Amino acid sequence: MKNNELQEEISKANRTLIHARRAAESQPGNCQRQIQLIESLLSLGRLRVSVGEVERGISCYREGVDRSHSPDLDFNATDELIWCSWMAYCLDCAGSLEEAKAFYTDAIHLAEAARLDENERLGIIHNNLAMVFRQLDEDDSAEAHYKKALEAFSKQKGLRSIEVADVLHNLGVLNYFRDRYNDAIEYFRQSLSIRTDQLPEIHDDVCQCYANLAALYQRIGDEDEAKLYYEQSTRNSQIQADNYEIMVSRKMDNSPPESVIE
Amino acid sequence: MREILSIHVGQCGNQIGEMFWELILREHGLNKSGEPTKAINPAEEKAMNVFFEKVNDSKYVPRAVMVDLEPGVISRIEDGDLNELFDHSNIIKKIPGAANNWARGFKVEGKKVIDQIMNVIDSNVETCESLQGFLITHSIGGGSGSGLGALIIEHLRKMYPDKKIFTFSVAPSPLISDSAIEPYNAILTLNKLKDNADAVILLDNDTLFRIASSKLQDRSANYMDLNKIISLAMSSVTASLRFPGTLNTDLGELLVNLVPFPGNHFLAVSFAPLLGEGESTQKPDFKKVVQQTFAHETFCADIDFENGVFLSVCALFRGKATAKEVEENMVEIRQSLAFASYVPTGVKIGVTSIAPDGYQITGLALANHTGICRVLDRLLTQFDIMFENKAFTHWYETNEVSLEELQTARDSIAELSESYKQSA
Repeated sequence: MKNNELQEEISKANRTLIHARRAAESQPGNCQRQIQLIESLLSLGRLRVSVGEVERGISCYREGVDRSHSPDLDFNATDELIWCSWMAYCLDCAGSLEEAKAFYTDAIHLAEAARLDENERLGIIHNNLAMVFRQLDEDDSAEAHYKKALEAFSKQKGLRSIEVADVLHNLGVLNYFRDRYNDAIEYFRQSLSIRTDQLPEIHDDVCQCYANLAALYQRIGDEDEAKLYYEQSTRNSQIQADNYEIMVSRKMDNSPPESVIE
Repeated sequence: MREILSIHVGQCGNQIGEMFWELILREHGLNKSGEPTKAINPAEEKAMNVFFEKVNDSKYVPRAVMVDLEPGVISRIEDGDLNELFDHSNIIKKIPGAANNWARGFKVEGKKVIDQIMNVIDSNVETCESLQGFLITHSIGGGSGSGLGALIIEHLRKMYPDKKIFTFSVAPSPLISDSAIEPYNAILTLNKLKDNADAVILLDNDTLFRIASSKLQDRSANYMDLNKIISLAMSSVTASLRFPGTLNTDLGELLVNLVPFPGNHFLAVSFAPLLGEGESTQKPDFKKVVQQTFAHETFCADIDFENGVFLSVCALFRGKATAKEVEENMVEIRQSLAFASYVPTGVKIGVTSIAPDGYQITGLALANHTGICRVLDRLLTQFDIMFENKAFTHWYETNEVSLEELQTARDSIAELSESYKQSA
């Protein structure tokens, strides 16, 4: 959506929020009006984040989540899980890592308490939480959550899914930075195997794996293998593996659905 | 359109707000429900749009956000004469209050409610075509107006760096004291105002009490009397923003004229004439109004006129006064004012034709005077007496405000006071 269109959407969402507030204020005991207010807040929050007004967006989310905790409101666990993980994602994007960690963790606890093991967001939540832990230098926790992400995606999407490949790749990066080069190589190989299977031959993600393997082999002193992987990586001119640098991990998009309440 | 969003925080802030809106409703020909009492021409409508949002031809709503951490005052306003005036979605009242503690207002309770407050403010700003800035009323001695007020202002500065922030801040005084820890609250708030506000009009409860008492024959002055003076001053400070005139048509221009150095934006205001109960100005004596406007005892803060100088002054006259009349009567005043040697001795003057309700001619002076340091020093002295013995500081430490934070605020305001003295 173009910027002007987004700004119009924001104005529209703001008017909706104002009306929702007035309605909720006029009948504080009306649950449906409270829910509509919360939904308006979260919708406006999402729009604000999408135009880069991250702090304002987070402010909307925080108020929405705070209101959702009212004992008068009865949400189902899936809705709470979605809102909690939205909050975490926004805070994560804004760089508020400790707060993001808290909300991702809350989301996981919600899922466990409500036995939402099959929820499609769980894999994303575990992967992104792992990345937060990585940034906070808590590598053991990062690894644990990457493995849970693997488990979740394997169940939901299949063992040879792109999501599994992405998490394997992220585990490769993590192990590289923990100086566990052989483990890293193994993860990148597995990721590469799935990506070459599922993606076009010339694809950024495929080239990324080749580049990372080139860097790793160079690190362990196997120049011949490094050169082979480097040549594979440079087949795609969009990726330049200068000096065999490792590519960074990937956060997974946790954008909310259009509407939570049916 | 150059809108201004008013934000009223805490008990004092909302009481002042209530009186302010009642006053300017009358000035703009609106009843207490925001409905026009007469036909509104396009020029009048443009003037109203600064402070009111037009809902339809028969309804105007104040651009006002009302906030308090306890419901009492706001609930009374909601249940009173103005119950159909305000947009209730702009009203935020919570429990259990800040217990007169800045730390609770800024850190503990404020943290829980700031998102909702900023979302409401953002919503209001979104509906403005070209927002000038914010006008905030609060006291700096309590808990909500001081702590939560400071938190809101800090957020406004961060989220709206190019919008002006004007405050009407009521400073505590020992004669009318609600709590022992007012000096701590005041110093902590002043520190935030120094860093985040563009102009702070300091109002001294002591001085206001004296001014109000001088007009009352049969009874003692109460908070309502003080708030009436403040609302008259607010109405006149903002008159040039609402009605056509010859002076400073927006907040930015006011600042350029009044603030010579960054940080030295603490102003004093005077208003004349003040009418006693039952009094009216049947035959206005303009010369007397001008003299009263600049009389030391009319200023609403305890300024040290003897040992200080004016850094800048703006004067606004409202009502039936011609520009010639104003100029003739201001000659003597200009000569009598002691300015800093490095600023011109000009007084920026403006005239608007619309006087406050019940008045025919009024005068207002808005001054940046180095003698404001007397108010700061008084608060610092009261602060130091307690702080040296760490009296009551545990109420702050247990609410996330450290001794170091208190000390830093104190040092910052001491530095501000010194800068005013040096400016003389």
